[in-house]
Amino acid sequence: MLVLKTLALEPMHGYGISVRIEQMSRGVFRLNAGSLFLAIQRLERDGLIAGEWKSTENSRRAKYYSLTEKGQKRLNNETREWSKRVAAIARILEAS
Amino acid sequence: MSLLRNVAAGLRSLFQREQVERDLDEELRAYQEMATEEKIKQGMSRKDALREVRLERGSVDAAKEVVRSGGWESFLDTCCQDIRYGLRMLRKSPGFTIVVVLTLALGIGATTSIFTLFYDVLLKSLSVASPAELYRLGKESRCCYWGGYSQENEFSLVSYDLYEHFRNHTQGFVELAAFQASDPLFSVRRSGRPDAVQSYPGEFVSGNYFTMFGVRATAGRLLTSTDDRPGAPAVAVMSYRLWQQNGSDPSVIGAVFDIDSAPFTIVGITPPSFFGDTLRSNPPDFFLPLNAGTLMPLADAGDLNQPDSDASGLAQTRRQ
Repeated sequence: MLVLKTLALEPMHGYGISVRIEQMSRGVFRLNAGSLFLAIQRLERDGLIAGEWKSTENSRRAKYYSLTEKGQKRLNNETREWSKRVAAIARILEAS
Repeated sequence: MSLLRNVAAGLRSLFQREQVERDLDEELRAYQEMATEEKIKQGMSRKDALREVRLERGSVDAAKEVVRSGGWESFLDTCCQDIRYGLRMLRKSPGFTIVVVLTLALGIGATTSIFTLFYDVLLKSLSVASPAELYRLGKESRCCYWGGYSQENEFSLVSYDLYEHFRNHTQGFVELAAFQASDPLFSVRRSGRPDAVQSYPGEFVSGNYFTMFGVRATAGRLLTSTDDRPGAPAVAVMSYRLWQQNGSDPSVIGAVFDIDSAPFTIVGITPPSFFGDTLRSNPPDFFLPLNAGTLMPLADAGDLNQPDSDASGLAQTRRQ
């Protein structure tokens, strides 16, 4: 979900995704390369994101990933579900 | 769709392994390089920056391993590797290989032949509707011979009267059929033909005998309870084997045969795989109703209706 959210703004390469997640979480989530690329492989195989080789600003080749239509739908769904769950947990914690 | 894509991606990494590896490698190197450059910008030396990145984000090789093992194809890949390794090891020690292969071959062969035998003798021998529901009444496994029989020690042969009593008063069975305890040879000739009389094995059976086995006639019909009553028309059923030996002549059905000098009308032919109630080398070629015994002055079975005569019983349990 976090990777999808990152890509919702603009297409990005692997390093960009990890930096963006770190920034947005203010350093709470620091992704290990293995977990990050495993997640990317899975999302790509599920057709939620699509990869394309492009050159970076430093004229280096990197694979840029962008969100597909299906990925956008999944992101919307998961975000809704997540908010629902967080709200429920919060209510439970407040009740006690 | 996503399943198809998944399969396609897996196949691609299996069959275009080098390309996929190169791509992954390039992607991860770029990732590492970008992270390192970021550190250098912050004032670290290149060496320190690389070390730092490896510590923070893991090495490229470790990441590759994780990504590789994430797809379903890695399982297949591992299996192939294991098989290749196994074959290599087997080639290294041919003596062991030969012993193992021979042991397996003999084992499989022996098991197969024993099962074939078991299947033919025990499972296939009675080609009847539901063999599992058949029960033979009696204490000893004796059905078709009298020698050394003693009713005091074993309870295997019953008189016709006792059979009738059992049949009429036992609730637990769908059918209770009986057949003759001995296996006589009948002298047979088709009526009105000048052929020589020939002898064939036969058997007297109760009217519900074929109903109990649940077998169906190849041609004509099999015996029913109405055929097995005193005074009923004399009818008989011929075995498929004998019918076939005589050219499967359709005119046999309805024809009259003299069996031990009494005329019997052949009403039907048994199914090809039915060889009677017992496995034996001379299966019956003629099945006659038990009550028809009285029609045959010369037959042993002529006194089947006498209280002291014996018949074997075979029963089928009630279907649930």
